[in-house]
Amino acid sequence: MRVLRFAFALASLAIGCAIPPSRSSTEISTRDMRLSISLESVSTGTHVRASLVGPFGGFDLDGGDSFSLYAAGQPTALVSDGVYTFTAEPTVRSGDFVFDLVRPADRGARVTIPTPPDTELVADPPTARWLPVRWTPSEGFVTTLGVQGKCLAGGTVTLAQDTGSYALDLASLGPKGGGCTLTVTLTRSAAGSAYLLGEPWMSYTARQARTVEVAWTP
Amino acid sequence: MDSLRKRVAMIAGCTLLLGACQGPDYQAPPGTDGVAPLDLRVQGVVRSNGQVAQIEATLVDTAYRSLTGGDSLVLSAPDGASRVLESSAASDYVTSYVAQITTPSPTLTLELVRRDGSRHPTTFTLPPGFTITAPSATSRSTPMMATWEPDPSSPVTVSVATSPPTCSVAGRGGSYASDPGSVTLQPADFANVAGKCTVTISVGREIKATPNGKLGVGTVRLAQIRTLVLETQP
Repeated sequence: MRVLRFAFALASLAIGCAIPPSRSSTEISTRDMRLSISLESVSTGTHVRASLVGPFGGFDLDGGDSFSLYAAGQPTALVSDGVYTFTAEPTVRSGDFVFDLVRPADRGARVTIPTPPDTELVADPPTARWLPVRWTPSEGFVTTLGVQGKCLAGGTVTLAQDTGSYALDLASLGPKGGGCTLTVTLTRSAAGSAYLLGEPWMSYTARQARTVEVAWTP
Repeated sequence: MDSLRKRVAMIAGCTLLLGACQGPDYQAPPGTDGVAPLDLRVQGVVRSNGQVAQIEATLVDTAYRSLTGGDSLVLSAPDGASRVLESSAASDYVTSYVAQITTPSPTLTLELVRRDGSRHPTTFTLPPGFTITAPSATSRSTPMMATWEPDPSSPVTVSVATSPPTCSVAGRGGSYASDPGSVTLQPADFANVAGKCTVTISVGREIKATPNGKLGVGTVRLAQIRTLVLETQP
């Protein structure tokens, strides 16, 4: 009798292990899903990457469930890699990015991620020490300016306030002597998260990068 | 008999414990008495803010040395200011000596004075002195430039701090191989806060001393440091 019981328990375990975890969204509560979003605005548009996972990893959107993106108000196709990552390459470079999870049989969720205003980075003629740059100012983002070039060690300056202009002090960035082409990069970034029914449901990073090259002779 | 044995054992145990609590047997640093002045090397820093000169020094040959046998160290300036160095932060292994004199002079002399009255000097020549000129306006909405007389031969370090700290990001300034003679604080360097903001700009020139005179010189940093405090408005 004991042997039978043991065999039954073993068989039950084996059967349980053989059952694959759910791959259908219809069997996963929205509350158990997790959304992670990354936005990177570059000169040609915005790289969008979103991952939507359940308790056991990726799943298929079934039963009329859908996951959509509106980039600056325009519907934008999200391409699934068949596992759990969605990507898009819209040409828009700024505005609100809205992610919409629609579920006929469960709670839906809408996430809006703001991005910095569109801008170009403009470099004014540098002097032996100063390199003035300009851009469209903004608030609410961490703003940094990075400088690279073969003729200086380079570095990054984090601004306390995004005023839309700054004169980079090239003398403090380790000049090596001689001139070269300098690459200046403006980066504005933000990160955030949101809760759904008390659970940490969504996190995001948004980053805007613009570069400009300028010839410099100290 | 057993009671006597127990007592002896207890006394022996306590003695061992007390011995352990006393720790290792440190030796005081060896003295300078009898060591030739040129075999001793001065290490430390000599600095000036334009009004006061300070020295922090140790003496070393194969080990740190403390002044013994009537030896003393004296710091002096050409204008007559002079002071005997006093021991500070002494430990079992190293004794530091410090002194401060009121002088604007960038040339300072340190002498080892022996009991017999013999004097063994070495001279320290600090980088050129300078004065930081405050910007004409102190509004954080416009660039503020503080300037000083540059010295192309000395590297310079500029540091900027604010009070309250939330007024600005820390770390503006930097190290310059060639003295730029100015630092500019821009509106983007300040956080968007209301009210006063105290900005402290420190500029330091530093070089290494070279051996000269009759007293040995090791690594001695020679510095000129100036500080400017600005009360800024939004």
